[in-house]
Amino acid sequence: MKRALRYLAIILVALVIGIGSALWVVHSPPESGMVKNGAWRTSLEVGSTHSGMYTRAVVAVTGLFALNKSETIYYIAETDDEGQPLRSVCDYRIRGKDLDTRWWSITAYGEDYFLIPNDQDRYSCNMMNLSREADGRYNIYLSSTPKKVNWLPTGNQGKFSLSLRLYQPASAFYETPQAIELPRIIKEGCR
Amino acid sequence: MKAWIKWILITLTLAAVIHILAVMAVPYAVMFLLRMSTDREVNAIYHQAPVTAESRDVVRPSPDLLYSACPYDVSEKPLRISSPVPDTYFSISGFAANTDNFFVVSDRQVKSKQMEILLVGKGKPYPDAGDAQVVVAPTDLGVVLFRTLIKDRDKLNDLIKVQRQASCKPVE
Repeated sequence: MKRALRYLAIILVALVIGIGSALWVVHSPPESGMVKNGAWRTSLEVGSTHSGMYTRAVVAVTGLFALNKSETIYYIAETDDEGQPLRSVCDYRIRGKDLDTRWWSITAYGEDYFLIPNDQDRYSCNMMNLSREADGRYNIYLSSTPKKVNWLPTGNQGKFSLSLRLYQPASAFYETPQAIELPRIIKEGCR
Repeated sequence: MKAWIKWILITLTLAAVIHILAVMAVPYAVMFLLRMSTDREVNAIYHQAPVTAESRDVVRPSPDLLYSACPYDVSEKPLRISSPVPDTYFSISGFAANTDNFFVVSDRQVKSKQMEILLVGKGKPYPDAGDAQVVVAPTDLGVVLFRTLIKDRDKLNDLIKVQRQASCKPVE
């Protein structure tokens, strides 16, 4: 009886540790294996039939049906340039220029990985709907309060994240994804 | 070796095995839960409305795309996938039961204004594909996804008309 209880305890503890650590690693993937570029990170393994089990699991939970790198590269940002988590109580400015790709867009998502509700149904800024300066550079304003141009609402949900999608990007993105000049994410202030 | 050290090692070894199995099972579980939650018939196409914050079937949807989906089962019959190619970015892609993106064909890879794909089961016979591109699915179950880029919101209705002409049907 005592031995049976001991086995049962071992199995229960192993289940808690094994499943708990699996869920943790899927929702908080380690930086190793990711390519960092400023506040952005990516993995060229996304969607690949050769991806490792951790990448595959993370993508299934946080970016299901992501295309492989032959078609699209996805960069994710969960922090600003200073490494601080993106929070809807703060305002941010994304400063950048057009990227060498057929199409690009930046989309804001809530902590649940879904779009952030807002009255204007504004969920992304992309290469077609941005106002630019004379030199082609742009500012995107991430804020829970409306802005005159290039506003991307961040709601009142707490933390949020950004997806930068690059459809059919130039070869440099595959060769040196860590060195491409990506948009900066600058904190402007918090309430 | 002291008994308690042995039990800790056994527990940690078992936990490591469970951890690996759980991580490997996650993609299959996500696909299974998606099938259960949406309760959609296989081998039929579903055209999604433009994405909003109300769209909650799949995480991180792109608001710049129109999506159509075809959950497939090619265990018995191949699947004929057809769509006109709109005048914007367009792709058809396949996702296996483990979520791997095993094929993607975009508008720039086809010469005509019509995309035709014959999705066949691994090792299974299939009829003459005609003008269709043959793609072998690594798993019998999966999802085919159609993506159409909305470049201009003023032309959304025109894109939706094209979107609705896409189809996926078992080949008899």
